[in-house]
Amino acid sequence: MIKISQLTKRFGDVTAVDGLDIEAADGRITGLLGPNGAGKTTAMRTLYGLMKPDAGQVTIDGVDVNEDLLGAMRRVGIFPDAVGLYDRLTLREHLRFYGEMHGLSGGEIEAAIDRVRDTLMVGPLIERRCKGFSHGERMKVALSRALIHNPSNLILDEPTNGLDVMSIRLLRGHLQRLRDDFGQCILFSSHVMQEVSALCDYIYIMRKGRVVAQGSPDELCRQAGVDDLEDAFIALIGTEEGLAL
Amino acid sequence: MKGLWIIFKKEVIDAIRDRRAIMVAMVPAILGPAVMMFMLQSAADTKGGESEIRLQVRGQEHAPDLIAHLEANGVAIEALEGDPKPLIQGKEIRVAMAIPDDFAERFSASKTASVELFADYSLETSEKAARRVLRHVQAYGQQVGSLRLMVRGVDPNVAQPVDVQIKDFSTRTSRASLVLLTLQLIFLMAAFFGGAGVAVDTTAGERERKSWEPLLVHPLASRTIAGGKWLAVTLFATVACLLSLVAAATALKVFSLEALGIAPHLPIVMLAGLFALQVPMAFFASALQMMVSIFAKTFKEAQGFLGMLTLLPMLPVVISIFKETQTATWVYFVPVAGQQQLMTSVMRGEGMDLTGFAISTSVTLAVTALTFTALARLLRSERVVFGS
Repeated sequence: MIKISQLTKRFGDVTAVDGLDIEAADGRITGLLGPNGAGKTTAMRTLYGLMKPDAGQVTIDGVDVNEDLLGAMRRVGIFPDAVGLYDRLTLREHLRFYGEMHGLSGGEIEAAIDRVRDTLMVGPLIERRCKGFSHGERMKVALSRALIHNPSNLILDEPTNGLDVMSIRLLRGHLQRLRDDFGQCILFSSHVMQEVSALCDYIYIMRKGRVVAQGSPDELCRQAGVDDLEDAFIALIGTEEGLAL
Repeated sequence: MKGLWIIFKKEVIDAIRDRRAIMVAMVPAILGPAVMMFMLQSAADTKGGESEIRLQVRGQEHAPDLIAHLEANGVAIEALEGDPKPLIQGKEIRVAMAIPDDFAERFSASKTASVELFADYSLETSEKAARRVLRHVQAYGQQVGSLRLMVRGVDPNVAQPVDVQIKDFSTRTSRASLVLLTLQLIFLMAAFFGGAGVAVDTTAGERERKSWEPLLVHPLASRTIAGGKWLAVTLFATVACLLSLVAAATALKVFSLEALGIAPHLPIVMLAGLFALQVPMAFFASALQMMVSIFAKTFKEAQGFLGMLTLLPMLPVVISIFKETQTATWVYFVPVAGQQQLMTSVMRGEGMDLTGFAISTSVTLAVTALTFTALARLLRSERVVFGS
């Protein structure tokens, strides 16, 4: 369960996030859709404590991020905006490193690495050093590290950027399984309408740091008075700028 | 504790695999002493044996005894043909001498017999050669004079009321202290060079490859993350310090510098003392370098910052090369400068001033702790992590 209440974040004169309210429930995939620059990444960064809110509160499983950052971080897997890797380490070493930081011990880690390897199908990459990985491969490493400790909450900031169709389908299936089998809480941001409409149970539409509409896909269509979810998005945001099909 | 180890282990593995950076960090510490001593040894060789001197002489048959004396002193005698002036000014020869026909006659009669020495004193080589010939001729004259006095029953000392004995140890000791200062510079630089690459990679590197964000979203305190990184940087700096000491000790054994008055080996006690001074410097340098490079946007920028930073600790050493400095207590309160002052006395064999050591070590460690605290705090700063 991830909750953002009345979050405001300013950079100088610019208000990037303006009184944002978002609630991502367990067992549900919650989507955050908005054009580039809508404040999605900023909102997410306050969720992992990398940015301090000017006002409002962010909690993960009820743990206030700004009061107990480490406690909150233990409950969540994160796929952040930046997906930098260490070129001289192999994928296995990456996963071991991040797993250890999450408090997993030796045996648990190797089991977790096997699990992630199989679900994300990164077997051929596992013993390779990350130098020379393609963009898609790097995204997969970033995904595997978010999942390594099998978190009950998952935050993904534009996880499909640059992924090939196969990988996107794979990721979609995996997220649905996490939701259905483990009842995980998944918060997912994207500026790609198709991604959000294909995957999300509940959608927040963001523009200029605010939520302009929210609801299940059906509710959003009803609100916009159209049949198609993509038409609904455009109608509700008021522009196509910064969005992708 | 476990978190520190996790970060430390990862950074060390990552750094060791960057072989080029490791070479750049360690090679100066290993080769520095050897290169320096090789150069000094070659310098010692040319200074030690004076080169042979060639002297053109006209009328050498008039003074065979003098000629024999000159030859015995390493002067190669050749016959002089014609006017020496154009030869000397044309730099064909350096110095020439003419012995007049009446030399033998006057010499036998115990009268002052003269010789002419031709040189151009505005030319350095000619002047030096002429001085040396002059010295030998004068020595010969003095020798003969003393004999003549003795033959006449007079103590030759009567004719030499003052005897000046020049004891020249200036060149040897000054060169020896130059060796010590250069070694000191190498020992000091090792603390700064050894970890610099890792310091850049673990801070500016994280920003450049955009790995700060994924790293910092893990449940570790920023203190732990900064601490593990700092320990890794410190490890490499300390290894470079050790290598510099071993390399210096080895180089002193291989290149004999005893001609310069330098002991052929560094005693273990001295090496231990030097290492005890290097370690706090390595701690301090590592924290400072990370602190500086964390602000850099790229690798290159950070390397530029660190280049400038490395000049600072060289300053006291360079000053003391040109200026004899007195030890002062206040220096112990300045990190690096204090250790440098202590190094000087340790390397002179004067032993370690324990009070000075205690002061400079605690001051340096305290400054390191402050720098580290600031560094850890910066890991939670949006400006540093996102570079906006």
